Amino acid sequence: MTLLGTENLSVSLGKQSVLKDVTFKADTPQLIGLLGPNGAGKTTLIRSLAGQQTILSGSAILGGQDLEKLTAKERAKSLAYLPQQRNVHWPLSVSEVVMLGRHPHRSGFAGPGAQDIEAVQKALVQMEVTGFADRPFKTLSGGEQARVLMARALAQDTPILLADEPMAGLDPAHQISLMQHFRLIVQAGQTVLLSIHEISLAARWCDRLLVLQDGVLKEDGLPEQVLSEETLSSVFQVGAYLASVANRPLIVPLEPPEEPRI
Amino acid sequence: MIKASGYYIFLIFVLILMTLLLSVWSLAAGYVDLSPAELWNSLWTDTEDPTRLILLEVRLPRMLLGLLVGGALGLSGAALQGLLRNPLAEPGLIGVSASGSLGAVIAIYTGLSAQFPYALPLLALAFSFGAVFMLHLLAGRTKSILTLILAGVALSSLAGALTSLTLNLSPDPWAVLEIVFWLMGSLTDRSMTHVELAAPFIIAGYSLLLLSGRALDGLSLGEDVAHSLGINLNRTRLLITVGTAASVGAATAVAGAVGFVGLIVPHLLRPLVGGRPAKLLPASMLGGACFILLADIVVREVLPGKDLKLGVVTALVGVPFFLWLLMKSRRYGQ
Repeated sequence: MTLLGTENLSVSLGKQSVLKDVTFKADTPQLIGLLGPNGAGKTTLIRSLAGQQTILSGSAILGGQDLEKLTAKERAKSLAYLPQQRNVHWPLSVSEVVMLGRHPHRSGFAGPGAQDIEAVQKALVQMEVTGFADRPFKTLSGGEQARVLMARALAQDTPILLADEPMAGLDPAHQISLMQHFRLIVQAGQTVLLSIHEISLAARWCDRLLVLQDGVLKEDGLPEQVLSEETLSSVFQVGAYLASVANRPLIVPLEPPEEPRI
Repeated sequence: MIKASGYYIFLIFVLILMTLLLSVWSLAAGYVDLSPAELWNSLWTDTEDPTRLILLEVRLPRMLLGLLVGGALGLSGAALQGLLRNPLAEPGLIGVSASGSLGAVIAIYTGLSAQFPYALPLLALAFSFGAVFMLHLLAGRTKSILTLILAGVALSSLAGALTSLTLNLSPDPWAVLEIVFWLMGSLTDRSMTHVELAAPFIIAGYSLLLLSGRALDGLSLGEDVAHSLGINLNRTRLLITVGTAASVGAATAVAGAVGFVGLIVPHLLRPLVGGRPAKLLPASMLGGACFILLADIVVREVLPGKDLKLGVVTALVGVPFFLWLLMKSRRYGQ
C-alpha cells in the first residue's frame, strides 16, 4: 500500500505552473528529505499532500487512498502538518499547544479524555519538553519552540508527518537533535516527509531524497545516489566535497567549479 | 502536567456571582430608591403596587437587556478576536454595529419609528444581517482572513458615511438630536417588548458563537495547521459572523451603538484564562454582562438627572482602564 505519494501531480498558482507531473510513492515508513532550490515547489508539494492546495491534475495519495476522497477528520487522523512558521497566537502554555494536536480525536464540549492526556504526555516525553510543559510557549527559544510544535504534531498520532523546513533558523545542535528525533519517529513506524535546505543534514539522516527543480521531480533515491556532483552543480549551482563518515555520506557544499572561459 | 481546570471553574463561578450581584443592584438602582428587600416584598403584593410596577415594567427589562447586550458584546468580541487572531478585533470591525446603527437611523429619519415603535429595532436587525450577507459576498470566496477584515472595515465606513449623510440631509433638528442620542447607546425606557424582541436573536447568537470554541483553539496555531487538524474554517467563519450579526445586531437594535465592551472585556479576561479562546468565550460573555450592568448603574447613580448615555460611560470608564492595562502589559514586555 502506498502510505504517502503523488501520481502525476500538477499544481498551478495563478497562471504559473508550480508542480509538473510529480510522481513518487512511499510504501514503507521512511524519512524522506525534499530538496531543491528556493522556488522549486517544495512547499507547494507539501501543501498539496496536506490537502491545502487545489490540484490541477493527478492526485495525492494518503494511506492507499486518494486524498480528495478523505473527509477532513479522516485526513486529520492520518496526517500531521508542521508549517515553516512557528506561530502560536495568544499566550498558550506548552502543554496546551501540544493538546491542540488531539483535536481530531476529540469531539463535542467534553474535556480531554485519559487517552488524550496520555498521548500529550507521551509526546512531551518523546520530544524532551516535559521540563517546560507549564511555561508559556512564547517564552521559549526557537529550538525549544520547534520541539514543542513537533510534540504537537506527534500528539496528533498520525501515520504520516509532513514538515516544511523544520530546520530553518535553528542552531546546529538543535538541527541535529531534531533530525535524531525524526529518525526515532520513523523507527516507531511513522513516515516523515520534510523539506530541507541543509544538504549535508539531509544526506546524513534521510533514507531517501527527492530533488525538485522548477516543479519537476529531478531525482528520487538514496542520498548517495541522488547527491552526485552533477546534480549538485546542475540543480543547486554548487560544487561539493563528497566523503563518507561512519558509513553515511558526508557532503559539504562548496563554491561552484570555475566555468571554463572561452 | 496538564493544568487542572479548577482555577477556571473558580473564575467562572466568581463571574456568575458578580453578574448576579450586579443584576440585583441594577434592579435596586434608579430614580426611586428601593432596597432589594422592598423589591422582593413587592413581588408578593397586589398588581397595583407602584413598587411592583417600577420593578416589573421599568427595571426588570432594563436589567435583562443589560445582561443580554453585555453578554452579546463580550462574547462576540472574544470570538472575533479568536477568529481574526487580532487583539484589536471587536464586533464593530466587521460592520455589524455600524450597519445596525444605520438601519436605526433610517427608521428615525423616515419617521417610521414614530408611527410604529418596533420599526427601529427591526430595521437595525435587518441591516446587521444585511452587513454579514454583504461581507460573505465580498470575502466569501477567498480563504484570507485579511480580506474579511478589510471588507468589514469598508462596510463599517460605508455605513458610517451613510449615517452621516442621513444626519446631513435631515431637515428636522429634533430628528437629528434624537439620532445623535440614539447613537450614543442607552438602556433607558426599554420595555419587556424590547426584551422579547431581542432575546431570541441574542440567545441564538450566543449558541452559534459558543459552538466555535474548539475551532478557535485550533486556529491559534494558524489557518494551515487548523485545517490540518480537520477544522472547517468556512464553517467557523460562518458561525462567528452570523452569531455576531444575530447577537450584536439585536443588541444594537435595542440598546444603540455601545462601543468598547467587545474590545476591552476579552483583553481583560484573557490573562486570567491563560489565553485559550474556548475558555475565553464563556468568561467574556459573563464579563461583558457585568461591564454593561455596572456601566448602566453608573449612568443612573452618578448623574441621575442628566440621562447620561450608556455608550458614553462605557467609553469613559473603558478607555482609561484599557490604557492602564496596555501600559502594564508593555512593562512586562508581552
